Amino acid sequence: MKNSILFLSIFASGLLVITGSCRKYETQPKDWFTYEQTFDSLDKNGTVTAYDLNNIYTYLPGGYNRVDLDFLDAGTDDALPSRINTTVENYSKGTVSLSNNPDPYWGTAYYGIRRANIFLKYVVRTPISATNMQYWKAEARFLRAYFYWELLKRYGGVPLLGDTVLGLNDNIEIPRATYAETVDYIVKECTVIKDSLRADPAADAEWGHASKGAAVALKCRVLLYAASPLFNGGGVESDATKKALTGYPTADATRWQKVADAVTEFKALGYFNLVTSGTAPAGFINVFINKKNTEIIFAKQNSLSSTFETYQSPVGYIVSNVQSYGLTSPSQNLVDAFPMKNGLPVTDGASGYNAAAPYTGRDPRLDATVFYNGLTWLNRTVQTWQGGADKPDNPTRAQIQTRTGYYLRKFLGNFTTSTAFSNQSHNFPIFRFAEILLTNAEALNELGQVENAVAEIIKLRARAGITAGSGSRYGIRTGITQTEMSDLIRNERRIELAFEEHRFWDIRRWKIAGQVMNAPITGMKITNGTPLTYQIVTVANPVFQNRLYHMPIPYDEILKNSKLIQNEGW
Amino acid sequence: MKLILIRFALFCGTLLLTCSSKAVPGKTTTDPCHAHWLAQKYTGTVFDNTNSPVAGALVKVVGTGITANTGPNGVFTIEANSGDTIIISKAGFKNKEYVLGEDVSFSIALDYEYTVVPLKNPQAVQLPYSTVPQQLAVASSDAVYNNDLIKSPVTSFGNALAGRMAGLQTFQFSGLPGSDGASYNLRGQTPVIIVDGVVTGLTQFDLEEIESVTVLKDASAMAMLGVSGSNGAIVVTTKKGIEGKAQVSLTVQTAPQQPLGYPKAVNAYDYARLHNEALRNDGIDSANSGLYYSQTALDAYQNHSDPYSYPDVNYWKEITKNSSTLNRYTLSTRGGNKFAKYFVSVEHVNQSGFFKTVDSNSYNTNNNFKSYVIRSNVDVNITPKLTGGIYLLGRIQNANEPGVTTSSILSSLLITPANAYPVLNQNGSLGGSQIYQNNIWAQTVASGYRQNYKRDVLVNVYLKRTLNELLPGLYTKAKVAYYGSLSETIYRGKSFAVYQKNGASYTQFGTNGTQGNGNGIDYQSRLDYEEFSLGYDKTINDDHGINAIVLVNRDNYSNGYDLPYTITGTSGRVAYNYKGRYMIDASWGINGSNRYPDNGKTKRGFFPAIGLGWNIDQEAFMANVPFVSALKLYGSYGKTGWDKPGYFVYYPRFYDGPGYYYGTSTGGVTTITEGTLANPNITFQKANKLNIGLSGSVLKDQLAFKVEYYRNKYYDILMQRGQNSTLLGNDYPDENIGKNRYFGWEGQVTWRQTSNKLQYFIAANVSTIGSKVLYADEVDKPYDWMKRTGQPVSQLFGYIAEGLYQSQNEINTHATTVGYKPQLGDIKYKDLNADGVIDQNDRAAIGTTKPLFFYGISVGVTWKGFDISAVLQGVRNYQAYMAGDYYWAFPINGLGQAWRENLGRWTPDNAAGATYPRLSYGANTNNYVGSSYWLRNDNFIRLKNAEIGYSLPQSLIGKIRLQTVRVFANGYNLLTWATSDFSDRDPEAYYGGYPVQRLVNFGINIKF
Repeated sequence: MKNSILFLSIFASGLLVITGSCRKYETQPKDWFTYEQTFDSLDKNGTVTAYDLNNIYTYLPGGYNRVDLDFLDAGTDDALPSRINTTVENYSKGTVSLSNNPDPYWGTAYYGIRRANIFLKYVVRTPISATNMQYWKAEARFLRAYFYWELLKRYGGVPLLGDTVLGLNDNIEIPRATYAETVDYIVKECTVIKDSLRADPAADAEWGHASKGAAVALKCRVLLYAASPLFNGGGVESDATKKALTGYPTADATRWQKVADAVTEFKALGYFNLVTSGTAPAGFINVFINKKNTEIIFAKQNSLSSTFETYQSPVGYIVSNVQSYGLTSPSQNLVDAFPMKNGLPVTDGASGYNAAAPYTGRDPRLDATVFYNGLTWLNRTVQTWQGGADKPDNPTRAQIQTRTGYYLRKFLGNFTTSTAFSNQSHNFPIFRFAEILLTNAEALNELGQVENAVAEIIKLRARAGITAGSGSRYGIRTGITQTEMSDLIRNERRIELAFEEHRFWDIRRWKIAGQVMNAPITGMKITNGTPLTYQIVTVANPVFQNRLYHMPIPYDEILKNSKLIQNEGW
Repeated sequence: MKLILIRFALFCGTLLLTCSSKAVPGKTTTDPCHAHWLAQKYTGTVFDNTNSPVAGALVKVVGTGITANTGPNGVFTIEANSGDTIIISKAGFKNKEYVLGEDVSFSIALDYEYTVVPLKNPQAVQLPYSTVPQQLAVASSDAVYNNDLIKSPVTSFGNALAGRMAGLQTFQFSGLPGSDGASYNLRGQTPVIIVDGVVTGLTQFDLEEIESVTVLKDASAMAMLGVSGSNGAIVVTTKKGIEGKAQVSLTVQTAPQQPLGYPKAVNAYDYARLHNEALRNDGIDSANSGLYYSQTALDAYQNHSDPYSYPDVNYWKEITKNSSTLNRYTLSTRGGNKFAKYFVSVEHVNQSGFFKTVDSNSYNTNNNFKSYVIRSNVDVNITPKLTGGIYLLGRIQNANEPGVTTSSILSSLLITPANAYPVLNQNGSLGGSQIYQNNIWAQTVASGYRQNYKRDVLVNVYLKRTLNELLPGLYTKAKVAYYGSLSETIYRGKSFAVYQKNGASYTQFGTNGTQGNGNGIDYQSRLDYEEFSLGYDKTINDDHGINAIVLVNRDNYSNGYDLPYTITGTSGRVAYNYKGRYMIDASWGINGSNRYPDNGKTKRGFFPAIGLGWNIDQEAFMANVPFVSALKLYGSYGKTGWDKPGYFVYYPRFYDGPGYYYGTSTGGVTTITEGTLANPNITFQKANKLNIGLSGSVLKDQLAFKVEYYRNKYYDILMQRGQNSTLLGNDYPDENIGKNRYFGWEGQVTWRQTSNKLQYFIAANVSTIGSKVLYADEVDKPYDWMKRTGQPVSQLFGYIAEGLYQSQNEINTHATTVGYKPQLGDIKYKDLNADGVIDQNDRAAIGTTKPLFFYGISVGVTWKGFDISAVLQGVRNYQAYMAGDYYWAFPINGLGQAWRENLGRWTPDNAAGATYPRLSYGANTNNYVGSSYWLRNDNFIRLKNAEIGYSLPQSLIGKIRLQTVRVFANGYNLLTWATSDFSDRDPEAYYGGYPVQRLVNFGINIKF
């Protein structure tokens, strides 16, 4: 009997041990950052809070090889992806659909906006210095405004969340703001925060943080788009509600004045200027490979690497036993847009253009933008003739080769005479001063100040290495009309800002996509011999429908939020 | 002590009594007080080797005419003398000799003669914490016993279950040595695996050490598991020691194995020709793109005139062998006495891989596998009231593979066409190109090697004390288990350069590296388990049977550096039966885990179940129905739980984001970002389960049957809410939202006939698993066919294919496709809403929505020492979605393989007979979207296992003191009947993983 009582007691104590089991560990992960630790009320330096701010920057679009390894511009008449049937070509083939949009950015933008709002909501807990508090909050607000901008150019007006950090049970049936409201929101944010941001230039260690210049540059960009034909009353929509969502319902020429004013405000910041070092096009090249210079206003910062060189160099180059990919094939259309060194377009009889030597005497920026046959790279001339090293016409040699006779040279380091790549800075320029000049030129020209516009273009051409010519007009005709100047500015914008994610949006806001994206995309077929023979051939026939002026809001989002109105045509 | 004294007194009394009865007349005993002067009464109990009593056995005292028969409880009494030998015999069992000793009461175990026919009286049902006699069970269960398990030459017991149990579908998706894993589907769920009462998940150990594998399917069987109960269980019971002379068993087996179907790539000529055709179809410029193969190349591929510049390589053949082997050696011994019983076994498996190797390597690069498994189960009667035991499993598994890993070689095979490169160039260097630097031959033999070491130990210790003095039938039990698992890999890999001929020179890609050594722990986990129970087992007045247990337990699992996951709780079961006629069984679990708010609190739930049973055959009115020997109606209803709390998902946290860069120097900065939104309301998933069954046995137990119906409602299923808009700016957490129903029928029937010479049986089981989404929090969808609610769980959705476009007119008149201009030979989709546009509104359920139907058929014959048995496994309403690298041509931006199936593509000449759309280069946005076109009927029947054996006659082997010598041959995955879509592929492993193997196994088993 005694024994069995003993065993029963053992049983009972076992019960106690198990239910109240001794704990040897923490009860939940102590290594995790909670809100309290991230926004630590005891950390005067805000070390962890800064990590959270850093994170918001990672939602910025990177630009290089961003759309499934292709440039967004490979979806325009400027280039084709070298690979066949890659997704970015859906834009030029007109095969975008609600569920098949290569670059929706919708989710990324709202994820970024939430991170900014969380930061703004909680940063006040961290006892950082007043200066840091001012900078950091302004940076988060700038980034949030920038994400809205990325949405605005794709979709038009979108749901504006303000400072709200949505919770699990908050109503997410939020309607779209109109185009005008979204523009106003972004512009107002830029205006409010610009003076709270760091003045330019930022110190070396802080380079890459959004500065005052970035906020004003964003304002310039947003206002430029808002004043442009597609958005300034020129929407293609038949439904008035939808038109108001994707643009101003009515045109208003004074919107150009706001652009010019914003540029004036930008120029008043000082510091920013074109990089003019060395012999052209060295200055132009250096803009992209020097992390910090007077021209870059804001960039998506990257680590140093040579991956980008491997991706873009012509396929015949095998560097350190790795063959280059040559992913991008710039088009003949783009090459033709580069004037001669004298600034005259190749179509001008007086330009000196020779179709049998098409790359001789051209705008130096051509050499810095595309690889063409005969350009020197890694100590050898590029061979893009049929069967040449860089266009071998042999699927066992290279499954990828240029479709146009060109490869992308822009943004690459200086490896003309090297034998191997070294790591390079590959920050993607989001805003750079050249764009400000082009924006100004466009606004001034629209406002009738043609010669003021010419002056801005001349600055770019001079830096590019165009010869000044008689009267230092850099190839611009004296007495050029406003219409002619408009075309010239657009062309200058195309070549100066090629592959910087401008062309794709510019042809839309100018409402010329229906025209340029329904015309053949051409390439150069070169037959080997002495001399080489050049033949321009059609390599793609793009298709453009009016609905492609605005991106479709992702299908799932429309389903999940009954208040969202889809853009017209989708 | 008191007991021993009493026994001694009794012994002396008997002694006196027997000697004084010397003069009693009529007794045939010659001279009891001389040769047999100690003649006394012995009481024995005869069991079979499953510990069930054997009735009707004949007991004979050697040298006398004295005989006795065992009664219904297996008990006999006989008068004999110490030192006498008795022989126990019964048809179907081997004769057993036993020498009487001083113990007047003892038990004897009989061994079955080797027969393939299933037992008439199956063993008691193994519930997680108790065993229930088969006729009193009300829970849904099925079991497979050792003699069937060991017929399959596999390393995972799961693969030996195929086709043998109703309700359990097994898939074998790989034949990788050491991981020929099966996956399980038990009434639509993945069951937990319980080894000797501990949830471990162990599936690979010595099959010979397994006594039985039981599946538990309903709430009544699983309620005591509480939050681990919803998915059902596979309960493995290992062999324990039995009282009796030590029996040693040695089995030696060797099996050649061949890979079953593997996707067949086209040859170089076909590849190049199809490649050009795909380009032409996509309108890709032949002059400019540089992607077309020239006529010279096509000719060279066809004629094999220049195998170095125009190679045509069957890489599969280059690197794999047709045959590999599986050798298995098992030595076990089992025995015991009144004090201790033991079962000890050692097994060694040595399985070779199917890669070719080269002698020039001083190391092995094949994917070999070796395992060593030790099992020691010892039960000890410490005192008459206190018993204890230690069950121990030790497992060592050593695997080897090429440096780049077997899986990356298999992936390479899926994407490397026949013309990619010659294995070796003309100058002897490794072939390759910019695109294909993965020389598969070099990956196999020249990429170094890696070795994986796995160590597992599972220890189970228990103490059980009867508390009869408090209350007869009461006992208490304590159990502690530990399971430790470690997997370590040592890498000794090296990189290699490949060379492509470029005119007179060779272009190098990649670099020849030196061997790089490293090691890493793949996983390291520890589980400790404690259990205390109080039980009561008693039949009162022969009428009221009570079986009750309450227990507390704690299951504490740590994986790597994660915080322990601990389930604690109490549970219990009370079963009552009246005269074995009416049964009621109530069980419950109250437990939960420590991953809940706030601060790792344990959240527990209450999971009750009730079962009822009626043994109709016990009723008086059934006495008039003599051909029915058993008939039971039973059912259960209960609530079970399933704990899937994630890793502290209620806890809002920030985690590392991608790095970012500031400044003009090169350094990066840390970023942290908000994790998936926390779910503060997370709780366990639940299921309400109903099970109803009827089982019986008729015609002198020759025909046995069982039918069950189940209807299970799973609710609070974790899933993302339907309105998970990205406007939130973060991922929505899983919430307890979903509701699904699973339902189905299971039936089994066995016919067996036994005579002394010939015994045979045929058995069949059929099962259905149907399901329906009851609630999935769907947002409003414009059309009913887009809704998942009401459809089977995990129903595939896509476009409904209506064949291929055969004429331009058909294209012109059919609905247009958003973002695509169809051409001849493209897949035509049904315009469900008839709006003239094929878009997301036309996506509907595709393929069958019928319940899954699977079945198994077993047959067996035993005749004069020969035995033959076979198991067929089959499945219907089963579909495979054939898509991706392993089925499409040129899927990866135009790179990738082309398969023999692609030769059936649409061309103008093969318009009507096309079995594949027109070829395209890279991803085709029309043809490669999810659609019914890619669904294949994957119904198949497989001769999963067959065995023939011969047991040498006793007359022969008895002389050399052997009990059994049995030679056997068995096979695994012997024959498969599938639809023609799987002529190049295996119906279970059709996607080009490690092929499932066919084994033909030869072995011998010796027992002495």
